[in-house]
Amino acid sequence: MAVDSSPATRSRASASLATPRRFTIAILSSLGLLLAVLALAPLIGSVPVNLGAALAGRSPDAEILFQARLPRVLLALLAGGALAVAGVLFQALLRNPLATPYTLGVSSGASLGAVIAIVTGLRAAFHLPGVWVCAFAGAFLTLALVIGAGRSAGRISAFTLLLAGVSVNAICIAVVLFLQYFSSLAQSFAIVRWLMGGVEPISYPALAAIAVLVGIVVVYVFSQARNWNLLSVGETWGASRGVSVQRLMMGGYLSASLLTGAVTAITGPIGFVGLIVPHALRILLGPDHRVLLPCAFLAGAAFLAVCDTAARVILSPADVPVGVVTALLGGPFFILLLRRRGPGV
Amino acid sequence: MLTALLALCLAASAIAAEPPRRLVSTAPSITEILFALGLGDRVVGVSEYCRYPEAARRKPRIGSYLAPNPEVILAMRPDIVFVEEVNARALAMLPAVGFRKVELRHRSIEDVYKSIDIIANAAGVPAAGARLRRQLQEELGRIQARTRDLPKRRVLFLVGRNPGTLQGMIAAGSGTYIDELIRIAGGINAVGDAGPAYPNVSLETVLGRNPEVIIDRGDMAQESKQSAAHEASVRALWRSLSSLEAVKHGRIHPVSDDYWVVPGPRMVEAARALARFIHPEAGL
Repeated sequence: MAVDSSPATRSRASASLATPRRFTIAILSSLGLLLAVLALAPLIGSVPVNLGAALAGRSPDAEILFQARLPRVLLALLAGGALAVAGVLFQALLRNPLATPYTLGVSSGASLGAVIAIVTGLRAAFHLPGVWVCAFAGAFLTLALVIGAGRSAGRISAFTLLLAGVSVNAICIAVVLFLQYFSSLAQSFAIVRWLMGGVEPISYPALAAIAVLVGIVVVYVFSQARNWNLLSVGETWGASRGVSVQRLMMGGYLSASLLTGAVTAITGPIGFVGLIVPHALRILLGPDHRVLLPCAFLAGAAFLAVCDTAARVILSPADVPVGVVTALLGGPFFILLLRRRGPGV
Repeated sequence: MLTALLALCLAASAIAAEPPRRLVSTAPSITEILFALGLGDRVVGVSEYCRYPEAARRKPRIGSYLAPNPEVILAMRPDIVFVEEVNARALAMLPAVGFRKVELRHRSIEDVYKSIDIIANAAGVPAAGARLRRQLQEELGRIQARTRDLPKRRVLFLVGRNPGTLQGMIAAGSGTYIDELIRIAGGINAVGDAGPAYPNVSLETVLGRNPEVIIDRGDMAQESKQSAAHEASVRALWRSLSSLEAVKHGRIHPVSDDYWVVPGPRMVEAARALARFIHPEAGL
């Protein structure tokens, strides 16, 4: 998608905007999918749970359902939604269909923070697990570094952001490998497993905090959907229609990074959600960001929760790294979708 | 000319007949066997991770376990280089340049016995090897005999965990050295039916399997002794799961010693510690 404001592009852009009816259908079906997953996923797991006993508070059913399973499903929903929205944003921002939430190094920065916490054995900071705090700090520093390096004359552009992001990404990965090289065998083990990513139950207060953060950012992002549509036609086109391109890009970049950083700090990097969900939805629903963004949140949430449920049960009692499942489940599905739609998408 | 050649041959055979004097170890398990065989004085190089026994810490280093440095090893002019299967590939060139390489495998208790024989024979001390092997077999047999008729308790052994949380839990699964030790010590592995050797286990699985004993080597930053405060914090972490048998009976054991991850002569110490954790009532 190059900068292009020819009449042909413009008419295509306006033709692909969703009608109110399609908008409603898309949102309602995504929401239905999400609710179905939310209802079913907590019932499936590596050990059977007696629902009656759990609701009556009997041990261990109650602990398994409410301490171990439900928070995990909820975190998967939040993380999947956040990553899919971040994916849509990065693809729009960088005008690159291969962009993912991890392209600009936020997750590598988070990984570096987590690795430092594992190597130093930092158990807690600010009453939170040390790994989370360090990973979030790492993501934040990466963000600052990329903006610092990618800004020229007070402006950011897709091109400089991409180059700065990819460089910072490479540097973070190099330091991670360097630290791992000097770590003990047990630490090295823990590092590799963290880098595989995974959803795990967290406390309800922590869940609530993330939900609030993700909620605020996502609502802000939704409010910008019309501007992203205008920008997708071309920077000049957008600017001539009254979009402050710089503000939109900076806002989008910060939002996407915040979503990615907050999620990655807790789950580690989970691949594929931020790539496959946005593209699948573009094929199914078209490129209108007013539909795409909210549906990406709902469908991304449902997708990761389904994948994580599979990760919990297929090799039980072992947990499969969820990134393996997202790729193995999502990959073939996406190829099927591409084949059925044929060329021209 | 001919006499010179003859003299050279004689000299060479005289050298060959001498027991190897300069030994290099590239893994902690090998180093421990060498010292247990009384060959500590002949060890001229060990890996970064070789910290036991104390004397091993003062030996020159040959690089890390996964990446031994061939140049450093060659400069030591070793008679034999003992390598483990994991780092054997990095040192594949040794025989080509005229150095003797002996490859070992340390995944199970049986592997340790085999290694003792191989190392003892290569170093010319077969009697010491047979003695060490018999001694270890007897002591493990004694522990096994003491726990044989006691109830088999479900044991969860964690080798990894994110510091300060019950997340990212990695357990020792079936087919591992720790799994063998658990059986000798009169327990059964709570996740012994998992596919991977070191499976990630979720909180849900831990709650569902309900282990009666938990041994947590989880967030050890250093492989050394831990503080009492650290141990207390690990126990406090588990206390939140009050439905677990291990929590109810106070059988949560934070450990840090490296013998849990180094299969070698200290497996007796490991098995005894494990038997005490699993069956405190047996008075082992």
